[in-house]
Amino acid sequence: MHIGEFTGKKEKTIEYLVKSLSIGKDTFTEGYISLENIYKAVEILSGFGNKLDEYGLRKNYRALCTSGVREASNGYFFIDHVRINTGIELEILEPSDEIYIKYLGVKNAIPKIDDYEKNGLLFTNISSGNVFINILKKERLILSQSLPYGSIRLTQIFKDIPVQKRHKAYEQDIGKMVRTLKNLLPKKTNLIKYMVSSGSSIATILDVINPQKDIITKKELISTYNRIKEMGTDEIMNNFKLRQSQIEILVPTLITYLKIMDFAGTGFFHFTRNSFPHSMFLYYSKKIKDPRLYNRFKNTLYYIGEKYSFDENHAKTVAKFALKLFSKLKKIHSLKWKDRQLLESAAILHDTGYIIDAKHHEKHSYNIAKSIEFPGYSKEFIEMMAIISSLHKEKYDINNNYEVPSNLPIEKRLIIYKLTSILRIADALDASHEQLITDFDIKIESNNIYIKTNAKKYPYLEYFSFNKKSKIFTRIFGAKITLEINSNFK
Amino acid sequence: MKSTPILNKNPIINREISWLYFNQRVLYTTLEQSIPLLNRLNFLAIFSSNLDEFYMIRVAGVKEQIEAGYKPANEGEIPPTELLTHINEFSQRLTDEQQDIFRAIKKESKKRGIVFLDTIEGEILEYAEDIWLQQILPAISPVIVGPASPFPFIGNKRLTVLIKLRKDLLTYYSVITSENLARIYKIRLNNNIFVLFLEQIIKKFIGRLYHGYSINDCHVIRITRNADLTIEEGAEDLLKTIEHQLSERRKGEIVRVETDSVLSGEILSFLQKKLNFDKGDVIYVKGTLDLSFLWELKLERASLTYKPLKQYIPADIRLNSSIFKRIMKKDIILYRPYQDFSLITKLVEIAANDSNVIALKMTLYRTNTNSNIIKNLIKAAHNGKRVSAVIELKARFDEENNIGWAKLLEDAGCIVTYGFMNLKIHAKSLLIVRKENKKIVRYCHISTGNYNEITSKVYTDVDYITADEQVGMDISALFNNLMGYSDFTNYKRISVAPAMLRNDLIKLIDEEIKNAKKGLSAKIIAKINTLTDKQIISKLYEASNAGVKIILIVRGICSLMPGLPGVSENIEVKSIIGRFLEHSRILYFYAGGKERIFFSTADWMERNMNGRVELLIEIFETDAKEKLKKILEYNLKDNARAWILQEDRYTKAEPSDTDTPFNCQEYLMEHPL
Repeated sequence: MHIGEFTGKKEKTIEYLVKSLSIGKDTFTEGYISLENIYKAVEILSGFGNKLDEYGLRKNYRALCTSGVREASNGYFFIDHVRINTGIELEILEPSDEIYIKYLGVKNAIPKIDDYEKNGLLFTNISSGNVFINILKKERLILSQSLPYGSIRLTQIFKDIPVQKRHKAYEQDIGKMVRTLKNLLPKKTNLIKYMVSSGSSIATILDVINPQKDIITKKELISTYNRIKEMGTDEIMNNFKLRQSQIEILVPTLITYLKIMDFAGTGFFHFTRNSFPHSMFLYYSKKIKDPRLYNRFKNTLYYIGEKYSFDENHAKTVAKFALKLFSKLKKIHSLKWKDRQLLESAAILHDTGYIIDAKHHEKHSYNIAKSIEFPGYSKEFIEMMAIISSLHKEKYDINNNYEVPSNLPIEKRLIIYKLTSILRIADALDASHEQLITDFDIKIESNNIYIKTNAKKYPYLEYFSFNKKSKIFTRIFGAKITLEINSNFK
Repeated sequence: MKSTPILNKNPIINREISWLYFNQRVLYTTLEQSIPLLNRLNFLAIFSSNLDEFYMIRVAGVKEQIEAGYKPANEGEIPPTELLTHINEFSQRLTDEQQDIFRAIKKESKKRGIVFLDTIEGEILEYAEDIWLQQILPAISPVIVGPASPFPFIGNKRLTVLIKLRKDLLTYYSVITSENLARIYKIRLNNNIFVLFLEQIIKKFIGRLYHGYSINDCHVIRITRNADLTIEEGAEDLLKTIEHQLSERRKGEIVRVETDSVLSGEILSFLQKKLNFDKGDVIYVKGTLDLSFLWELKLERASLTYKPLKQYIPADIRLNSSIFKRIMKKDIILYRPYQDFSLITKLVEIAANDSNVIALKMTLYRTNTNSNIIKNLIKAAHNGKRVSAVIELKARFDEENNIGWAKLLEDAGCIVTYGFMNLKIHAKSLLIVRKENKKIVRYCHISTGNYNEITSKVYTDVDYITADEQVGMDISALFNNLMGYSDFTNYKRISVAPAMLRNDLIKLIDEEIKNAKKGLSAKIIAKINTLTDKQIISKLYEASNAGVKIILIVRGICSLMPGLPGVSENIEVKSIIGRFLEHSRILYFYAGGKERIFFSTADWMERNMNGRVELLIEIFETDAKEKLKKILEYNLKDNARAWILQEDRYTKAEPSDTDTPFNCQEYLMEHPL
């Protein structure tokens, strides 16, 4: 629990409380949280509740759960029980939000990370239930994975293996994780230059290594691992003054770090002692800015497009046209800045499915888009982006459409309709994929919208496509839209 | 006396023996002619109640060791059976001396009109008979032990009269216990005060109780029982456990039997059969039993007591809400009892009524009954502030008190927690959380003394009040830890036992050792109450050998042997026993000229380092530092109430021909810091 205070821009920690309870141990072995631990959690959270009362914060807090509750089959019962008994409202944090907040916390603590991102960075967060890995280069997210490894999870999986053999099992299992990662990356060397780490595992590592600066070297990790392998629990406890619970996770944690460092090809990594609650605190009080987020996202989408050999020029042109329409038609659609991102993202990805099959390419585009996980972007955003990109194909009549899931609220669906209408126009304007139209003007006269443009050659395909794809626009916005082409050949 | 047992490598004075030395110093304080008569009687009383507690806890422990068949692992450590013999012999000798001194003081007091009567006769007889008939007789129920009336239970520290009766050639025993009776009876006559003890009156009229019997023998005895509370691990509800234990305490094993006269073999074996004790447990007082009752004399003779203590509050402190501004500006440091503890009481009261205060937290260890602090905590709760109290129920001999207050606070809506099952909370701190201009500001009070308005007039202690942010952070974390809210403790300004305090002390000593080895000046001054921790002692020996100059002012037990060639030549130990009980713990380290000053709640004992929550804090503020340095300086200068320990022997410090006598406590009374 982190309680902080802002005076202007200055942030001050008022209190920091830690109470350990291995909910994950239950969840990762049994799949649910035991009743005993639910009661213990209530006891701990009652204490935290007292702290909220002390500072009058009952209406001003966030309480978040990660994998231990997220993955428990009785997670919602747990949350309900805690609410009834302590008054504390717990929320479940999605993995991509979790890593994004952790990442921002680290970014806030290590400002140099911007440079590292440009030159190739592996960011990892090893906690009790998950290993998060982000690889960034040139402001693109090359890879983002939340892997079900984590120190407590591993100790639970292998708890029946005799102690003497356990480290071998860890080595093999984490080796498998790293191989999976390797296969996901382009076969290019020297991708990663820097490595940065955070997470609860850092504290355990620091207790045994005690580095001078905020850097841990592979050499230190190897020599520590080799020493510890030969020691019994009591010896470790006496040598490093660790608690039993820390000793259990020590070996899997060390192996995880070593394997990841092998994979990254780095001899050391930077770390931050920044706690997750502190990062959460900064994030939810909107004190961490990430102005480059969308840029990173956009670059990543192009990178994904490349992976699927899309027509980059077409994607860029459609995106450009869509954005122009968006800004010129502001009065008509009254959409927000975030919706503009949705439009551009969908435009970039709309044809990526071609690599699989041209006929149903929009469905494949949908699947590709839907599979993207990007810290900082919610599941809902990704879902909407995927839907819009698939609906660019005019065969879908979106008014009575089952393609737009009805579980989305009507406001969201409306955004999808509006953005789809715009995307279809933009796509039509480069129907030939030849960039015959390079720019256009828009004129609005009462209920009529005129798109005026010049073309290098007469754009038969564009004109034809426009007529088909603009129908929906009229229906959604109640305005007729006309394409006027001035060509030297007309 | 026999030479003290010595450990080979690290010579150690046995702590029980060292404690008896301490009580001996208390006893010898009654020989100081400069101390007013009635106060000398008080020292006699203190000696007695000290010895009682020693038997109830320490001797009880030694006996438990014997019972468990404990054999010392360390060569040189004295086996418990041998130790018990030492203790009983030493106690017997001290008790004899105490009675001699009491007889001498009685003579002196007679000249001053306070007459302790040896025989009841003449005019006094009539008064005594009235007391007998009206107060004593209705309250006693003599039991003649027989098949129908078993030997009655004799409670801890109860004065009991044992009578041997004869009738028809048969022997009977009768027992009179003295529950609920006053011990001292004062008769004012002809400008004199005549003092009678309960047992004198009973003995005088005892013949009237046993018609038909002849009284063969009559002894006054007093039994001391094991009173050490041990909390069983896993006791679910600490409050209930202690309530239960308190009733059990009355029935602890017997550790000492005091008699006013030598028991015949027959009587002794009768008693042993009935009460189950060893021959060695008997102490013959040869005079008046249990002089702790001298406290009850309560005679108001200004000429025969200390001049009254004037307590000061620093001139620049106003006792209203402006005090917070004052603390914000500068730390406050007080030295009790010369300065007035009521400032702290008042601070709690101000906080309870201050609209900006949102929370109050406090540790309560030995609080007096009718404590204003508790009243104000309750008031604060009624005023809507979040009040949390961490109550240490295990404060020895205070458990009953604590339980009462705990319940009152709970009823008022305070959050009351009882600390840990296996750790006694000895740290004393008060935290006031205030909202000032929408910002959280924390005020901390940290002290070496308890929040007890009565003892604050008798104990010397340091009080420190600060608004320092880091101290506030640390004390908050400490409370979160004590209340079970959090396990995270990243203390920066304070050091806390059991986790780190000893290590931090050893680090500080190591620094001095390092400097001494470099040929730099290195010096340690420590004022503490007790020194028994073997790790610290051996570190101090190491420092002495490295050339660190060490001066220890240890009021009570000191297991370290100073001045041993090749071991502790650079260590001096002194002890001050005066009007006020020296209780503050102040530490000084030369630190290469930086002069670091700390104060602490912790004595240097294994018990405090391992089994208690204790606090150590360094003081940075120049004024406060200077004041603490002054206190040490005056203590070092004392040659009026100081004792010097050399190897294992204490001698009274005497001012040399050139020195003027200096009484540190008296000086501080006249010149408060």
